[in-house]
Amino acid sequence: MKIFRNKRGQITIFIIVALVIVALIVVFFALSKTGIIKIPAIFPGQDTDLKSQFIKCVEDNKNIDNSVKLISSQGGSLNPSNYILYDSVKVEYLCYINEYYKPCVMQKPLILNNAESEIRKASIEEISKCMETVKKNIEAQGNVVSLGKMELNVSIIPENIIYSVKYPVTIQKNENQQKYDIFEIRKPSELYQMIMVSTSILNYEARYGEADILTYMTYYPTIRVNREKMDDGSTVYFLSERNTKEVFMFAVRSYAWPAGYSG
Amino acid sequence: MHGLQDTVDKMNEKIKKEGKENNDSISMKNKLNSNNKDNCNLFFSSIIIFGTILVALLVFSTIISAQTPVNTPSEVSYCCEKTLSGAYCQNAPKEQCDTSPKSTGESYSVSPTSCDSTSYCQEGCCYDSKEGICMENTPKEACKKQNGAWSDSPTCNTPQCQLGCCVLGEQAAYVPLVRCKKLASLYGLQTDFRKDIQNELSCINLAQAQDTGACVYESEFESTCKFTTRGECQGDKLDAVGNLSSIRFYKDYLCTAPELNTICQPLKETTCIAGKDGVYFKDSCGNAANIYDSAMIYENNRGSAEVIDYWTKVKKKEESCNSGNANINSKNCGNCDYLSGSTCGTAQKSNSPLYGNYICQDLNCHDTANGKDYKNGESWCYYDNGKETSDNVGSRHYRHICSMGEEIVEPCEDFRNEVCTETTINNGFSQAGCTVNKWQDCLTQKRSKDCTNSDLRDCTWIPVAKDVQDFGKQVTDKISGGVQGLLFNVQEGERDQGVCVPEIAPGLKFWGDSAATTQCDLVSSNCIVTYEKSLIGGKKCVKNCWCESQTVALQLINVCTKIGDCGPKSNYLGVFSKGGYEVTVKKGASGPELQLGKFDPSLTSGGQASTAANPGAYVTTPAQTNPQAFGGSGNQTVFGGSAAAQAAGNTQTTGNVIQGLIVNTYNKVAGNINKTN
Repeated sequence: MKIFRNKRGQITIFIIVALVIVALIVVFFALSKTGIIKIPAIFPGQDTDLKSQFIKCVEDNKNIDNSVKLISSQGGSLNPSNYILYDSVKVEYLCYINEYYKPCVMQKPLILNNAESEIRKASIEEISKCMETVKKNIEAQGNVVSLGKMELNVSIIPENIIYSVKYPVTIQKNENQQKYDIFEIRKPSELYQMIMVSTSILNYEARYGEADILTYMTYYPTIRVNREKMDDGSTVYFLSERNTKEVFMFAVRSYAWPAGYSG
Repeated sequence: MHGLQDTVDKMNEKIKKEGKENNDSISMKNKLNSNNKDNCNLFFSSIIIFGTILVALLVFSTIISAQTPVNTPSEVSYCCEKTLSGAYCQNAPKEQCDTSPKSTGESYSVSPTSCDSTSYCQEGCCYDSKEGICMENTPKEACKKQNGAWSDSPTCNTPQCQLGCCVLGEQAAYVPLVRCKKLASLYGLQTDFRKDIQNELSCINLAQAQDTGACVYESEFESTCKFTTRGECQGDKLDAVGNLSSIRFYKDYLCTAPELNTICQPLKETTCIAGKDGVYFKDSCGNAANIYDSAMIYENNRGSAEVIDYWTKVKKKEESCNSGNANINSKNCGNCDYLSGSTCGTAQKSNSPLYGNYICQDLNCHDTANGKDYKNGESWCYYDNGKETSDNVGSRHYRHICSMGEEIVEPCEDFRNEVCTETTINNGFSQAGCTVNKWQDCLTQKRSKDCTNSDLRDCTWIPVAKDVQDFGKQVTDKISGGVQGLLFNVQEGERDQGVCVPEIAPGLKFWGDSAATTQCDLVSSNCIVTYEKSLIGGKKCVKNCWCESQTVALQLINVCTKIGDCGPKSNYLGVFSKGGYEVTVKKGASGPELQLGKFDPSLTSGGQASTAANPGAYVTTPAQTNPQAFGGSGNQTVFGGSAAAQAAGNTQTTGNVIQGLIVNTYNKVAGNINKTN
């Protein structure tokens, strides 16, 4: 091999090989999914720092979690108006009739929409606080942060509650400027499944009265369905996810029977 | 005759001394048993000539009122589009209606009619176009408030709510089209809606019949694979597909099949799959392979043709290890079966499998509240006092459910408005349910046949008890003026001899509501007994003498306990209250307290029996024996044993835990007698 007799030639070859390796690495990180995921971890920058701080703040926020728990235990409402008091919890009637022997009238037909809207109301302030906290942290590093107007959208989907935060943020440091607009935070939750089972129970109650809880548990093994019949003819349903222990409660008064000969 | 008869005899002697003719009214007044206090007593009083109370009027007026809704306001009822409490479309008094303006500016409607007759409270279907969900029986305003689309079909019989089969990979849902689209998008699947499928079962079958297999494609310059359905083996459904033309679907093949030559390799790891029962092997690409079987670990058996085949082609459950068995906690086999009581779940340290972290979890319930074991999906009845027909004060029926290894308690409606019914299917698989206790019209039934018609009502017939002298015949033959009450009023021809009572007595809300006390009065009865004074002293009973019989008192008390929380009864904790009734023999005279005993089934020939059939079969417990008792013999006083034996043939096996009574003494009357003596 004549070419390798020359030292300079060898070096050239090594340089070319090195360049090819570097090029392959760049291509790997630029094009492959694994590479894209790994880039932020290898080169942490301010970009992901603000985002991750904000997302972490929302994810770890106990007040938001407690609000979701409260809303879930109150039939999807933060401040129920037509409710039954069960163990000091205001459980909202989602289907209700004040008379005996009659099917209930649906009161909150779109529970999912209602719950999304209520969670939004309950968490908007906390999310805003999170951004303020992150802003202070970033500003402490010598940056100038300007915040726009926040818009929050909450979606309850299978296995998650998504908080879509539209929050224009600009970070200025010297000549450099970074802009953010939308943040998406996913909190694991089985609320969607429980609400869907609840809608089915409500439809059954409105048509026939008293749904069979065993049937629902057989169809949805991860959901535990309990209920308690109150002495005024109301029924409080408790749906809980067996693994996460999340609970969704609501009340129904349908085809109620009076107690005794004349009540 | 013992007890009451003795007392009456003594009273007669007293009256004889007074030398005048009397009419005595024996009236049995039934009272509420709240079992908190001794509020129910037995009294005798006498009245001269007129002592009849208009019980019948009370009975019928109360029964009639029971047929009308309780909360129907006495004032004019209005249809409130919204009430002040926030409920839509309720019939309520006007002052409860919300008349504030809606978001549109106009006020919520109110009109003096039923909501069924109004247009603003017409019930319809509320459609959620985002989720594709249809909600029935929804008023327009409630739907609009939540941005739903309202239509005037209360049962949602509308095109957008038309159900069809939504195929979602290997699963399916019987839902409307929009819902199907939503579900498909949520699970990242292509919408596959079959509106020609007319029922849920066909839909499930269709999903199960889907082709599954290895979907091989190129990604990042490698041949990779995804185990999926044929429908999902498309470029837009796969991640990072390099060359679309390279996508190939191999039905019934696993991604680890050597001939497919993919990067997916067999692993020892296992996983659970949503919608499937078993524990499945995993491959290095994250796909599920066949059911876990410790004998099929690839690494340990590389040369084995059987093992290679196991990692090549899809094996059905029936072809997998230990098929037909639940394989609960099996270390070697993950062929779980939901119907047999097992499903894939995370293994505990104590029962970890040989490979992987998942095991066939036990879904059955062991050592339940009644001490028995039940299978997953079984339900059974549970009673406060351990007996099916228990109607103790405050007692309730419960339905217990075994679901996913948990014993879940579902209380039936309170006040025993619901009772638990249990049956078994398929080799003892227990099924229970809370059913409505149809006791409401029991008391109005005049015929035994109508009373026991279980299609219409849940009642039991208590025949008039026969004493040694054929009590029933005496009643019908000799009944005359001055006799009122359900049990006493047994005129032959008009009704059968007896009374129809609830099979399981309903509970009464005895607190904060005096109406409950009135309800116990439903079976209160009166009987005027006339005595004739002889010229030379003494008196002779000439009219309705049968009312003096102790059997009558026992009969009435039994009926009283059967109509609700009345009469002498135990509460759900088993605490017995001897009150709950009073028998008066003399107007204004307060009768003495009775000593009560418990019904002793051993004294009857028919096991559990109603008091009616065993009128005399009562015993006192030592503690209850009154030293002043008449007819008592030691610590155990038995009344009318012969009558009980005679009546055993009429046994009504109501199974009721009858808390009977024994009449030991009437203190006051006895006191009077003592004085005269």
